[in-house]
Formats: sequence, C-alpha cells, structure tokens
Amino acid sequence: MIKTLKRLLLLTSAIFTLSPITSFAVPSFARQTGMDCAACHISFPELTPFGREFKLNGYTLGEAQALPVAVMAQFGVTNMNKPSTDGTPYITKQNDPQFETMSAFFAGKITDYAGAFVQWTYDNVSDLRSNGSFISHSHTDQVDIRMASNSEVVGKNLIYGLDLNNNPSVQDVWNTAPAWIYPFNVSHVAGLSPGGVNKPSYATQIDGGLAQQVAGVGGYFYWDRHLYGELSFYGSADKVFRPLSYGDWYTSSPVIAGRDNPYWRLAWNQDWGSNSFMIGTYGMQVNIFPVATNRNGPTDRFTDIAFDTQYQFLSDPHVFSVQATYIHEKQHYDASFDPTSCGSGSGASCNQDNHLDTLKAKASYLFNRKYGATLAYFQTTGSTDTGLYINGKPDNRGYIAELNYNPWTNVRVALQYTGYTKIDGANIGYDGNTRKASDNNTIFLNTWFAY
Amino acid sequence: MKYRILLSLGLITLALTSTAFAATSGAKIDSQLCSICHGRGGTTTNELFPQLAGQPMPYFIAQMKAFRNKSRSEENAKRFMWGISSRLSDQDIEELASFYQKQIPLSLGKISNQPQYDLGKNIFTNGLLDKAVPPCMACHGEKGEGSELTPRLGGQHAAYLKRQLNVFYGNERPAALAMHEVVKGLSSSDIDAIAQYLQAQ
Repeated sequence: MIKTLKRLLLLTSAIFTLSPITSFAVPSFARQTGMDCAACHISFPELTPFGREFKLNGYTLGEAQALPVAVMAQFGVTNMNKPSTDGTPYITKQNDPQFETMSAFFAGKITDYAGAFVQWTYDNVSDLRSNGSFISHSHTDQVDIRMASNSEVVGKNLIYGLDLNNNPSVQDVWNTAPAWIYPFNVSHVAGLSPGGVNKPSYATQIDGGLAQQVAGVGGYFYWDRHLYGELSFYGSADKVFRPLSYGDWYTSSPVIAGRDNPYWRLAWNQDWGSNSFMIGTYGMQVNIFPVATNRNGPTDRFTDIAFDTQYQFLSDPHVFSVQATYIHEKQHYDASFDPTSCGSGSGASCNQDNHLDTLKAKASYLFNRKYGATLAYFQTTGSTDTGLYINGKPDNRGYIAELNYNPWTNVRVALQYTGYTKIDGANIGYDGNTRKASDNNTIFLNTWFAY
Repeated sequence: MKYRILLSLGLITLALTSTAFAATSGAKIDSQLCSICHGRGGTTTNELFPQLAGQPMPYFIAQMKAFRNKSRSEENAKRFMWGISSRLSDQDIEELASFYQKQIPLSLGKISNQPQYDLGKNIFTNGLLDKAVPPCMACHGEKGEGSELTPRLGGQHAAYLKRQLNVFYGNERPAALAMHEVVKGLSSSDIDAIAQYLQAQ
C-alpha cells in the first residue's frame, strides 16, 4: 500500500508540474468566455447560477474559438475491503494505480445562437478479458447540443431554446438529476469484477439506463431565473442519430421503441443573497424492446416520476451545497412478463407490474474553493420479483464519504470511501454464498485534471 | 420526419425572434448578462458582488474599460470581469453606464454594531488627521453618493468595500492613485468600521 501511495504521489506531482497555474473547467469554455472556471463551477461539474445561464444560453457567451477542444483524465488506485471470498475474486487490480479514463471535448460556441458540449471518452478500464487484463474502449460520452435565444415575457427575461442530447437529464442545469448528480469521479477498477457481483445491479431507466443509447430532441424555457420548463422526446440513437451512441455495445443494449418517448422537467429556482435554491420535478416514459435484435412485438413500459431539490450557499471562503432526488419508477412488463418460466434471476418477470424507488442525496462543503468534503447517501428499493432479481429483491443501499483538494479549479485529488450496506436485496450472502455487501466497500484515491 | 419538422420550426422561431447582443440597450444587457451576478438593475443582495445601481456614469465607464484593458487586476476582476468586459463594445459600456446611473440603489440599511458604526461615521466625516487620512466624504460626497470618477459607496456591501480597501494596499487598481495613499493610514478595524457605516447608508 505504501509503495502504491508513493507511485500515486509521483504521478500526481507529475501532473501538477505539467498543468498550468491558470484554471479552466471544461477549459475550452473558459478560453471562449475569458472567465475563470469558478464563474460557472463550484467544483467541476457542479454549476453556479452563472453556469446555469451559460448552459441554457447555448454555451454562446464569448468569442467562438477556432478549435474549441479540451481534454480531461483520471488516474486512481482502488482498495476493496475484501478482494476475494472463498476463492472468488471481486477486484482485479487491488492497490494498483491505474490510468482509468480520458475524455476529449468539443465544447463551445458555434454561432451566436448555438453551441455544443460533446464528450468523447477513452475508457482504459472498460471491460475484462478472461485472463484478468483490462480491455480499453472508446465511445461517445455525454452530448448536449443546443440553440437558444432571449426574449421578454411580461417584462421579464425569457431564455428559450432547442436541445439535442443522448442521455435524459444531461441537458439539465442543476446537479440533482441523474446525469450530473454526485459522485463525479468513481473507480472504474471497482466497477469491473472478475468473479461475482460487487456492486448494485438494479437502477431505474432514467438513472443511467439509457445513457449514450438514445437521442432526444426537445424545447425548453427559463423565465426570469425562476421558472424552468422542458419537454423532449427520445428514441434509439440509431440511423441519423448513430453518432450519439458510437461505441455503445449496440446489440446487447435494450432498444427503446419509437421516437416519441417523452421526458419532462419543471423547476422553480430562487436566488437571494448568497443563496440559490431549486425545487422541481422531472421524469420520462419509455417503451423498451428487451432484446435489441428483436424490434417487433410487445414492449416493456417504464414510467419514471422524480422530484429533486438543490440548495447552494455561495460565498467566500465558505461554499456549501446540498442536492437530493427521489425517483419512482412504475414498470409494466408486456414483453418480459412470463409467470410460467420465471425463475431465480431468469430475466423474465414474475409480475406484470413492478416498481423501483431510488433516493440519492449529498452534502458538500468547500473552503476557499480548495478543500472539500462530501457525504452522500443512495438507496433503491422495489417490488419482490424472483424472476428479475437474483435474490428476489432489487434493494441496495450505501454511502460515500469524500475528502478532496483542488489546488486549481481544473485539478482535483480526492480520497473517496464508498460503503454498501445492501446489494441486490441482501447484505450477508447477497452473492448466494457468504459474502457481505460491506466486503465490497472501496477506498478510491484519485486525481482528475482537465486542460 | 417528426424531428426534422420540429427542428425546422425551432430554427424559424429562433431566426424570427433573435436580436443580437451588441447594439442593444443597457437594460437588455443588464437583464440578460450582468444581472446574473449583480442583480436586476445592479441591485444584488449577494455580498460577493458589488451593487452597480446609482454608480456615476464616468466611474462605471472607467472601471469597465480598466477591466477590458486588464489594468484593473485584483483576483475577482481577473476571474470574472476581464472575460465579461472583453465582450462589450464602447457603446455597450456607455449604455450600461447610463442605465445603472439611473437605477435606485438597494437599501441594505443594517447597523449590527453601533460603536463600530459611529467610528466609521467619524472617519467618513472627519478623517483621521493624525494619520493623514482625509474625510472620505470630501471626494465621495456627503452620503457617499459619488460623482464623476469617484464611486458611490453609500449602500455598497460591506464585504465588497473591505475587499477593495485591502486591494489598495497592493497595485492592482493603479488608476486609484489617491486611495493608495489613503489606506496607508487605516487599520483593519478602521476599514471594518467604514464598511459597516457605508453599507448602512
């Protein structure tokens, strides 16, 4: 472990030496606006009120750059509480520093009324070979392309625009909806188990289930910095939209039917003094073909209805923020419902109707925009279904504690502890044998930087 | 097909209703840009940012140009205002200046510490003769309302005033020659007192 730490320190200092003193967030945005990352970000990617306006205005503030590109990278070392149980391994690179992931961005203004945030990611730790080595993989990541303009309605400013994206809620400007809620940096190494399950398997569709597989087009407005509304429609990112899902493991992913799966968003925002508050609701309804290669016949319908809230205290030197969201998902299985052949984890649903409920919350404190601490909680509960869920229940529960140091706004060193008290419906013996959920608790020391 | 219709409809709407940022009135730039931080009409309640309402036009213009040519360079000027000001033309700046001069400043009127307030009032009105600190009101006006190239101080956030007075110890606002001399005679408790007094005006 000491040796590992030494290596990581060396790596970190190398990065610091190479990175400039000036600070950038998605650095091409900073180059375009001439502003510091801190204008738009509390700490990347959490947005300030100014950052929200910048995004809703279509990333158009400033001078269009000839080459609006930026890069970011993440290195880390992961330690799992119990790397193996009864001879079954649950992690491949215990205490072994890894170059985890790297992204390139095309991010900036295109015209006075249009701009884009397009992320391409090279995942160095994407999958596992049978011999335990990593498979790297590159793919389209978050995409948000928009056109926006301003007008006046009852004497107040109105921002309105159109948006094209590939992940429901990636277009959102509060850090509460799934695409931008905490955690921001996670261990990719811990995400790949060579043996049994080592992390929760079940989540709602809107919570990452459709990311980079769908294309959504919609319109939005933001009136008087108070009322935000949006309606978008999603379909599979195929044919003309295929670039939005390049690199997705296409044949194994479920496919959503039609191009009219709605996503909605309504929020009330209130800024006063050093405070910024939002309360809102969002959700979507999708019809899904459970087998990607079979796009005929019945579909399963998922209806996600979510509520979210955010509070930020933005001052100097103290910055404090809280975010929370609750997602209720109604599942109606027309395609996967099969009471005759549903068995332990068969994939066929034993019930025609199920539900999932997810709660996520986090609180952060940042001093001098340098020293940060975060506490987060997550849980999912749902219907009993012995066909869909290996232990009959989808429940999971855990927490994250993080300390971070941000020498500049484009560099972060974080020590993150993720603890699980329930995985896939159980704690002790969740794997069907003797492993405990908490055996998968991980310490993740990582450095992240952007230029 | 549906997408294409939606997209073209949107494009047409945008084209019809869009008005360029440049060559718009001060009120419009305020409402779309400045007010995000400085509050509508330059009346922010956030002490991180100064109130702009009621600032004399020449002072406002001089500061915006100092941000734009990077001669005013304290940390927040660099972080925020260098970028913003680089997007504004001379005409934009003049229209903004004229707009803000006409706005009524927010009354923050709160006295949290009476002895401190009294000390601040005394320095503001009489100066500190033994330390060669002239009365602030000699230049900034009886109520700190400012004029010409001298800023309005009355009703400004105490936190902002303190930050700026401390900036004058360095050389990040070279245009404020007089202030570099004035602050030499002020202790940090004097600065606190003056800021308290002025915020309450």
